[in-house]
Amino acid sequence: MFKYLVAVLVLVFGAVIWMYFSVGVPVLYSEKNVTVRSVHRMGNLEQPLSRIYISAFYFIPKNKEENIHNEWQKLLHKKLDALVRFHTVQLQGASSILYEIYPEPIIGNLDNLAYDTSITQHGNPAALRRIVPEIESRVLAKDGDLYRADFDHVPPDAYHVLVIMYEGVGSTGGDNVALISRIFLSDIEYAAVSESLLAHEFYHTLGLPDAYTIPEGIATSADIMGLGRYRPIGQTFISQKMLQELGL
Amino acid sequence: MEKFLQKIHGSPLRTRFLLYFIVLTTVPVLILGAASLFLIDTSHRRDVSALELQLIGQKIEETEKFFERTLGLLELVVGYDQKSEIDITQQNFFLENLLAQNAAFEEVSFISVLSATSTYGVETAKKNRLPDVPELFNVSLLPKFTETKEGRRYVGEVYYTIEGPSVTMSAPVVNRNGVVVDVLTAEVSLREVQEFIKSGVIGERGGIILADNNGRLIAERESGIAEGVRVDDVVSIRRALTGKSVDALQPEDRYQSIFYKEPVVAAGKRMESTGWAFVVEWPLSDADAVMNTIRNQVLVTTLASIIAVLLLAPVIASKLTRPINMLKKRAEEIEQGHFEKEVVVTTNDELEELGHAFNRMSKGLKRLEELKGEFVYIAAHELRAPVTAIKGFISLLLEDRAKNGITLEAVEYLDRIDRANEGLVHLVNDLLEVARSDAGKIEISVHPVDISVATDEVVKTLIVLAKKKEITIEYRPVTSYVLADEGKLKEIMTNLISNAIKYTLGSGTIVISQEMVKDMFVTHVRDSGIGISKVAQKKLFEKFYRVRAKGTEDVTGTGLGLFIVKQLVEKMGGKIWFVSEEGKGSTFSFSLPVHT
Repeated sequence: MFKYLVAVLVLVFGAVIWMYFSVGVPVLYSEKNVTVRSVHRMGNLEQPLSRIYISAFYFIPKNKEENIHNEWQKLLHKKLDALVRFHTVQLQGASSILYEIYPEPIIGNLDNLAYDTSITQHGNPAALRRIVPEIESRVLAKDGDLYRADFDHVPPDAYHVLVIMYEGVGSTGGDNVALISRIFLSDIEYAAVSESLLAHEFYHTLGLPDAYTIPEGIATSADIMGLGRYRPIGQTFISQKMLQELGL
Repeated sequence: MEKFLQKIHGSPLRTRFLLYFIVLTTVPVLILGAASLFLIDTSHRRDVSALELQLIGQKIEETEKFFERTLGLLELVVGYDQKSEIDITQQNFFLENLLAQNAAFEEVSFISVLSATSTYGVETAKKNRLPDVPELFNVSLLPKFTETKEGRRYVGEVYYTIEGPSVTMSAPVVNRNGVVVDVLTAEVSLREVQEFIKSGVIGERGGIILADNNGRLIAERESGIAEGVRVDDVVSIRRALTGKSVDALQPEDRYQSIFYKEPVVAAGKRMESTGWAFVVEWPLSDADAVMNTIRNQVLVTTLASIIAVLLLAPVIASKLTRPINMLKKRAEEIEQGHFEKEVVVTTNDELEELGHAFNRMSKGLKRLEELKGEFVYIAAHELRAPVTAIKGFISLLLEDRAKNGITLEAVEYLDRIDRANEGLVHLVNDLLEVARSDAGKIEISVHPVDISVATDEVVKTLIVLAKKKEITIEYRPVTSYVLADEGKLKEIMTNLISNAIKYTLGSGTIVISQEMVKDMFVTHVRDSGIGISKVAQKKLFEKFYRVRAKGTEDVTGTGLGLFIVKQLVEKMGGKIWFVSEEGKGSTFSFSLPVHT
């Protein structure tokens, strides 16, 4: 009989313990499937953009050496810093940018006519075609005449982008390379929107297309790829549609 | 279960009462405690839900007012009937005023709607808070123009800049005939919305979270998570965005918050005009603080009640069963023939009445016992003379049977009558002994007696009887003096040894041994007989009790022998006891004071 009495007491105190741990105690909901988003290049899921590394250059045609901007490095720093801030906000912290500026202006092997194109309204693709191979062979290749070991810091897992401030006309962006005229970055005429113009070209390197009609140039979007490239960097944005294309 | 109930049914009253008391008191306390906790928790949850939904309703109302106020400033009606644009100078003047009127406007502009002109869809005037004069663009393909030129108000998606979240709003400018003559558009900062979202507080730490229709964070007050980050992974935000009920009452509404980094209870609602999700998250540590205090109080009270019950139960059980136990003990004493004591029950209820009735019954039994004793004594006394006379005459007849001409057949009958009469004499003597004992009239004259002589004489008397049954009696006399009545001592020895002979079926051995134990002299009579069952052992010294066992049907006796032996031993200052095992024999022992 004693054991039944003990059993009753165990049940009673068991019930109290059950009450303590169960009745009125909140049960937390937890989801089984958690969505993991990864940023990638538009149209290429295999190319992650969680880390972007920019190698920035100031490129001057041989015959324009006298036009070298006195504070080009400071100017480039300022514009790239603005780009980093903008990118951090727009990509919601899912992608980061590190940049390094080549410490010396690069004097081209050719005159400006060899790099420039007469049509600058829609970028300067001709300049890209000539300047990029020259930078690659002279600066990035280890046997190049301007190769510097202290500049070769590209992390292996980073998406590598070349940003070129060009002492000439026009701007353009494509696979891994963005080029912008120094005039857009330094002249007072473009002061309010210079950083947005740089960002516009930079986002081409991530695969984002222009959001305006060609050749009319009428914006089809208000974001950085359209009308927003003409708004101050603090007031422009990447549209939700473009962000979705980047995996966000 | 049946076994359990049977076990309970057969257990002592006090234990049963204890069990019933504990079960019947603690179960309601537990049920009451659990029900209280459940009801308090349910009520608390409803209160939390109501408070959270109230805050959400308030913030949605404030947001709707913000939109109405802001869009209202853009809705312009010009005071003419023709379809022509406002003069550029007036446009610029009006835009300056707009920027001055509402701090939320970052940039405002007029867009031409005159399709016949080259300025269709082109900004005709624009003002920005920045010092630079903004450039005018063709925006004819943007929804802020295409939607509004049709006469509809437009509110775009929220976009996130370095300076914060903003939204594009536009409204048609109409003439007095309601014809759209211009589009007035503005880039509107949502700082004001952010401020009143951040000012929304519930409890000590709870706050509101605002996400746009794409699930991107517009504002929240706690974590510092960047604006524009997608937060539609948060279950309450996702559910609110899809229009589901998020009322802080569903299982999904309590979860680990990414904003507070702790468990929260959430409610949410979608603002229909924008599709934005308003969600209130309230840390459980704050929301349930009062509830936890009440919960602990209920639990402590429940536990204290149970402990009090457990402490009181044995006391109350003892108190209630004590009179019954007293009556039981008294009944056992009466069973032993002790009628003198009275049972005292002072419960002032039926049990006390039962105690009084019991005492009256005890007195009645005592009187009956006395009457019985008197009757037995008188009867035995009156029977003694006739049976003695019968015995004498039978002896005379048998002694002179030849002279009296008695045939052999008559001699056999007389012998049977003599044996029957002998039993009757024995019974009458025992009855007289018992009657004297009950009346306290046994006369004992104690003096030093050599117990070995007395024992030897008895053995010699009974050896004939033993030999008839092929029973050996072993005894080695050693002179020892005890204080005893010689006659009574022989009676004791005779009784014990004759019992040993009677209950040894067939041949066997009876061993009589004696020893000194402290200042007492102990005599043991050990037989190899049938032994005594456990049940019989309890009643062996009671009056008229006889052992009934297989093979003892022919054993004669009155059932008074051991009762008388016990009385005699105790009257002489000794004790009697026995050790017996069924089938293996018995050893009866008694002690008497040693003469020094």
